[in-house]
Amino acid sequence: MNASSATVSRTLVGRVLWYLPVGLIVLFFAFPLIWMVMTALKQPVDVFSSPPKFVFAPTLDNYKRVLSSDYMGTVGNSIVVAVVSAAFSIVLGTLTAYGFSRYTLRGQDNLLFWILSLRMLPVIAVIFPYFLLFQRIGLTDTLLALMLVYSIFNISFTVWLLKGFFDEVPREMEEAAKMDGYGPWGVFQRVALPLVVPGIATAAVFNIVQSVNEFLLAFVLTQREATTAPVALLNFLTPLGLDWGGISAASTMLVLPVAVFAVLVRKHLIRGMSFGQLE
Amino acid sequence: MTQVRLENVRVAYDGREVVRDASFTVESGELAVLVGRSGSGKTSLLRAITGYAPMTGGRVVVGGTDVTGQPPAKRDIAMVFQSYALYPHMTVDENWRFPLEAAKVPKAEQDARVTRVAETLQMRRLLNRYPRELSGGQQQRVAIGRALVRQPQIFLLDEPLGALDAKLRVEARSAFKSLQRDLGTTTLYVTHDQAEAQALGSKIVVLDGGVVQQVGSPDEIYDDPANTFVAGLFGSPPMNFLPATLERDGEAVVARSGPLAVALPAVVGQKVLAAGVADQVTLGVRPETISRGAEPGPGRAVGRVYVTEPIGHNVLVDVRLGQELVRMRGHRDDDLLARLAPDDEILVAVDPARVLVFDRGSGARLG
Ligand SMILES: Nc1ncnc2c1ncn2[C@@H]1O[C@H](COP(=O)(O)OP(=O)(O)OP(=O)(O)O)[C@@H](O)[C@H]1O
Ligand SMILES: [Mg+2]
Repeated sequence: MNASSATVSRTLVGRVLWYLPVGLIVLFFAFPLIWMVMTALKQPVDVFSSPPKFVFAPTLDNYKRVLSSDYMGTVGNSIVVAVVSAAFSIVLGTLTAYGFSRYTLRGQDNLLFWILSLRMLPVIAVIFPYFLLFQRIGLTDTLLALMLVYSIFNISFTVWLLKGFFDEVPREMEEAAKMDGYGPWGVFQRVALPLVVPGIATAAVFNIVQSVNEFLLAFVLTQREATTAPVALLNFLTPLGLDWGGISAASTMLVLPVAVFAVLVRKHLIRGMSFGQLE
Repeated sequence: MTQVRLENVRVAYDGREVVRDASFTVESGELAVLVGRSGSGKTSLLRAITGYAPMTGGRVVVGGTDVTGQPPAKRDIAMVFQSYALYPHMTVDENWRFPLEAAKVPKAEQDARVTRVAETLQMRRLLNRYPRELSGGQQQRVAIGRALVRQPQIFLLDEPLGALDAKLRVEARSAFKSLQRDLGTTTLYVTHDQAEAQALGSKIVVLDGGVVQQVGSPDEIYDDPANTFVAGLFGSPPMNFLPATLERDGEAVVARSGPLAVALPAVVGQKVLAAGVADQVTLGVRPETISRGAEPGPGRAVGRVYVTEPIGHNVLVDVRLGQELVRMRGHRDDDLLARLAPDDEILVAVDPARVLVFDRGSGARLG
């Protein structure tokens, strides 16, 4: 009796000691998000009140304003660009990563480093060459231009991430599949690919977030038709000052689809982020 | 005909040879066992047969055709990997159908084969589990099953029972032996366990340091080992090795080791002389060929009991004989061996007909 109540209290203490810091950390990282969602529901007077209000009369005015503007079109642009470039990068990146993982190529290390170096370039260094290039071929202010540029960055990341995952697939498993009568494509498709699904999910989320976030390239390469949401947020910078409520509501609309996608693939994500580890 | 023949097979990784000049044949329908210590090149040799090892010489002939250059998929060989290599994203059922789908076996036939194998391996109720939901022994059966459903020409197994505990191993190996006999599939089975090799194989191939030491039936390997390595590998407890010098006594040859003098049988004596090597040899004496003598005589010597060890209905007695420690094995109900205590004097009798003579330098068998 005594002993069991002691273990109960010990596990209770243990749980508190575990959940308290975890809760604090989550709160710390989620706070900007919470603040954004709250601001989106505030009236202008509440936005600037000091001390900040956590209890207030919510309003949907901000959302109404955003939805009736042409902002939602730019969210659509953002999502189309992000999804297409992520899909393209994943198809190409997966095949490339598999090749690097399974076959020895001449100059393999140099090639891999070159691919990685695409990612290390500061955007500002390539922005004007891209601008001039797209102007010459008539692609400025098109979604296609953004898709192409984002894919370059995304492929680099995808190749590196997925090569790590493919490296973890035991060679013997593929040998077994070959002895079971499968050719190279069958082995890839039926054995290797299903085992790196967590990596693909991780790459997809990272790629999409990356594209949705991107500002500088989109700002320079688009004018009206292909404007993406981050660029369109500038419109909330009015001569009368910053429309914080509007920005928050607009940002929420942009975050929402990405968050929904992340939730859908979360099962794979957790395994993906803990890097490979086939059970 | 699905005989497997290896001719002077060599395997090297980055210039380091791990299989040297291996030649042997597994006859059609035979269960042959490849036995050797860890790192002796067993897996590499299997991979030479499947086509995955970097072969630097020799030929692999399966069913009369030279397959040396052929890709693995073409060889109709099923292998049970040391690591099982099960597909973790497929259930047991899917793992088994996988090779059948590749071979475009009709669905009904697939069902029939999977059911039959599940029955044989007693896995009916586990068909919908994923490998990670199975115990080590069950995973091993899945691996064997995946090879069985294919009904291949050749069956290779790489230490398939390694993950099982001692008792299960013994059960599993006799189950496997009767399974193989029923199927009649040519099989090469790899193990590092000499008892398993003896129990299973109709042919044993002993590998050490990448070199085939001996090929023979279990009895040949046990009674007529080619060298000290093979002699020492088989038998439990292992063979006693005694340093000895040869003395010629007219026609007869006498091997003397400390207080013990063994007159070698005439045939053995002649072979040893014919080999014409130095008179420094090693005598190999199996523990069960040593007994307690009643009265002194040739091949007998007085020693002192060092320690006794009852094992089941056997008893092991370690005897100090001059400089050497000799282990003998007998029945516990043998009055001569019962109730011995340390430091008792004991008259050790060696059966001269069953003494083996080895070259002390090379370990090669002389007679
Ligand atoms: N892919 C490889 N690259 C380099 N060396 C290897 C490779 N595979 C095996 N070896 C080496 O070849 C030798 C024989 O290895 P092998 O796996 O054939 O031994 P084994 O008899 O199967 O051992 P075990 O009983 O431990 O499985 C070892 O020294 C090993 O280090
Ligand atoms: Mg091995």
